[in-house]
Amino acid sequence: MKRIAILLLVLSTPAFADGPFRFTNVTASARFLSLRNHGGHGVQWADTNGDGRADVYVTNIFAPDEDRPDLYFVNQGGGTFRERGSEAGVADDGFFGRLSEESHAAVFADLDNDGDYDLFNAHTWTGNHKLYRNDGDGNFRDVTAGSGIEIDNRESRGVAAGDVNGDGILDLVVSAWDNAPLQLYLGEGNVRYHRGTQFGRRAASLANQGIMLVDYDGDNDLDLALTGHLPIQDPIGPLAMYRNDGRGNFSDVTESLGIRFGDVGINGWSFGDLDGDGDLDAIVVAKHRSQIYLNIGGGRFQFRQGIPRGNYTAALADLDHDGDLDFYIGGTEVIFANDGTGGFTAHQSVGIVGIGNDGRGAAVADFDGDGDLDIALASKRGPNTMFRNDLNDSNWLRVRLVGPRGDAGAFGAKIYVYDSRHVDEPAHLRGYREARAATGYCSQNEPVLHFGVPGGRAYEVKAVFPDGTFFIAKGVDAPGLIVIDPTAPLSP
Amino acid sequence: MARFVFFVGTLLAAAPAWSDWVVFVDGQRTEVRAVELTERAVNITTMAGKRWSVLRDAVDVEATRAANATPPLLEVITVIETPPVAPPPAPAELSAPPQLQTIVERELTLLPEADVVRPPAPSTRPYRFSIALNGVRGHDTLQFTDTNQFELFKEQAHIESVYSDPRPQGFELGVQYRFAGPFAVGATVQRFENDRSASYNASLPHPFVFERFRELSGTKSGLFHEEMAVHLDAVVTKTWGPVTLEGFGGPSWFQTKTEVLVDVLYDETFPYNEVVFQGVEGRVLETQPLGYNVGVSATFRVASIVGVDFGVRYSEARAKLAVDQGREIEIDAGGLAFGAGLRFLFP
Repeated sequence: MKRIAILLLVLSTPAFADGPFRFTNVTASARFLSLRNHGGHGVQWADTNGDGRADVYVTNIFAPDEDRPDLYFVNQGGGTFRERGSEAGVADDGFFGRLSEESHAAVFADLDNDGDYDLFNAHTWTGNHKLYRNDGDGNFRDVTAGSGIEIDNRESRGVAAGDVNGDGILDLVVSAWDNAPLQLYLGEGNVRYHRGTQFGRRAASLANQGIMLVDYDGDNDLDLALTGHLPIQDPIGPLAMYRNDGRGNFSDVTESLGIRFGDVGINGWSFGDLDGDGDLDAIVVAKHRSQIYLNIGGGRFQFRQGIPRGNYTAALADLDHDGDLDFYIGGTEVIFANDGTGGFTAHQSVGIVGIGNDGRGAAVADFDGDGDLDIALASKRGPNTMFRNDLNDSNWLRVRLVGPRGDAGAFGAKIYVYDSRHVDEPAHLRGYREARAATGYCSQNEPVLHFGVPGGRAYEVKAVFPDGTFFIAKGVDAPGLIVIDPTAPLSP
Repeated sequence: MARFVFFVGTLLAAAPAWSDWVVFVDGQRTEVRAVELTERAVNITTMAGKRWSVLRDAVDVEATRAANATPPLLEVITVIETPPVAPPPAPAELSAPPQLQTIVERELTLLPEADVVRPPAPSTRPYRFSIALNGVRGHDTLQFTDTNQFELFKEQAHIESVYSDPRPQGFELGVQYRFAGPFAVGATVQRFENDRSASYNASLPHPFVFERFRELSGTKSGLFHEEMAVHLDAVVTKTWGPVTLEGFGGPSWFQTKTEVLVDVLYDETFPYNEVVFQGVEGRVLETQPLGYNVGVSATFRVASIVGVDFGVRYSEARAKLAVDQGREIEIDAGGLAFGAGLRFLFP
């Protein structure tokens, strides 16, 4: 097996401050390593060994026939990681350089509903997609053989997981570049799959990039959002939205969305409640610019703001705990702060320095357990970087979900945080998030929903699961982490 | 059956002829042919030749011969003064007048000759020691309430249980010693056992919504209850013939074992707007409080050592049953109880 060459960059930068944002580059102290010849693309966060700390997986790819193993960083606590991809069985290394096992993206998802995060790694040129089953303590076993996952997709880019047909088993979607078909794998249980519906002309015409399963229209099923690079000759631009009928049948509703991005390659498309009204708005990220769209109901969006920055993906998170979603576009040095209505202002000099060239995937997690969200960035032509958020306040609430079938993360569930004794009152909505596996471009945030709320108060947290059941946790004190698990006895 | 009033005179034994005896039948003096005193009976032969027998004890007659008495002396115990019976003519050699004459009056029941052996008649003599065995029944239907309040889903849950105690039944065993005149001391062990029932009302917060309580109510019967008490009493007695009245009072020690509802078990399913009763969890708790008792009793002596006993006793003690840490149920022990039974009296 080819040895992994790892480049450790000694980077330690002091924190800067512009407004409320203060980050520190902790790549070196955290031992967040990179391959010597780089190739970072995807960033996936999840607590893979059940120790309550977020681990992170970085997929690597550079060029055809150039093997790049993937990196699996296990959180050791104390703000440090240990890379154990080979040890844990998910290095995804090729053989003697002949079968390059290169990946743009992977996704952590509980594919067998046993309460831990398994791993699906989508390959790009040579080699197979890989299904890795987690044994619960962060060690994985390759269960691809006989799973029904096909190997003919050699141009995969993004990957997402979610239950699209409501059978309680996570399904997988893989986007593909260069006219390769978009693939939907419908889960049968016990990590077995069969191919689902074929998507239409628009998906096939896009050179796919980021892919997401997201309930953009609020009808409690997962629709499919797709971005791409080949020019689409219409004002919309190279993106697509496929609306789910709830049974896993998708129809192209792109033209009715109200999005007019134009003829520019789009890498990532992120969704979140930007204006605090309880639905999912969007930020569309192209290489050099981005656009903010607000959801106006009925499955339609309205342009809100142009952002003069772009790259591959936008990590949406309440980075300053003021109650709304800010975003960081991976590969930039800028944080965009939300004014609460979906209007954004750029903040520079926030401590995000020393980033590697050609940043790709970016995702957030509270890796150091201090109650604020930190950022991991994968770079193709430079070192990966880790930025610690030094907000260090007590104005936060975190929600970890288990689905009705015991699935870790409960992807597709919606979480609403209200002021105490005001559940379901829109005027008292403090935040809304959707639990999902993948976001933007080849990225996955830590599947713990994070809310910035004033500390020292109690809140009510409502979780609505894809099967329609809901759960309300009363009197949840902030700051704090709660676990909502409908399979467990009600906790008094 | 004829009734006799039997006067027995103390006679000079010098010439105890039949005419020495004065016998009344239905209040009329009746001449009898002979009166024979045996060890156990008094046998009377009427003028018509009939033979009657009465137990000697029943007439409370004691025939003794004074060691040096001449003529022999028939002595009786309880005496009333009656006109002296004319003595029969004394033999010449025994002409001395009687030196003593006492009369005893007893009401007797004449039995057929075959029933010579009869139960002794009640004695009026005071007793010194007694043992009483009574059945007892509580008068009160005791109730007590347990309110269990605890936090559930960030609110206060309430489970209120009201226990109803039907009149308990049991027995008591008492001993008494009269140490001076009318004063005595006594000790009584009393034991009750019965099943209680409890009605419960639970108000349970909704897991999701504030101030939306789910109600649950029902009744649980067959709850075990046992109470044992030891009463130590000072006693004052007063006897009128066969009837003895007593008043008593003193400290009491109770041992109470009672089953209480510590939890109501229920099931709930999404969306948790209702709860479904599953059962109750009971636990037998024990306490040993101290209290007091007072009471009165009456004993009617029906035989020499046997009396029929009636009594009423009020006892009370307050006790706390520790259900869980910080949760106690306050109960009453004792109460008003009536008893009836037998008392065995010993001189």
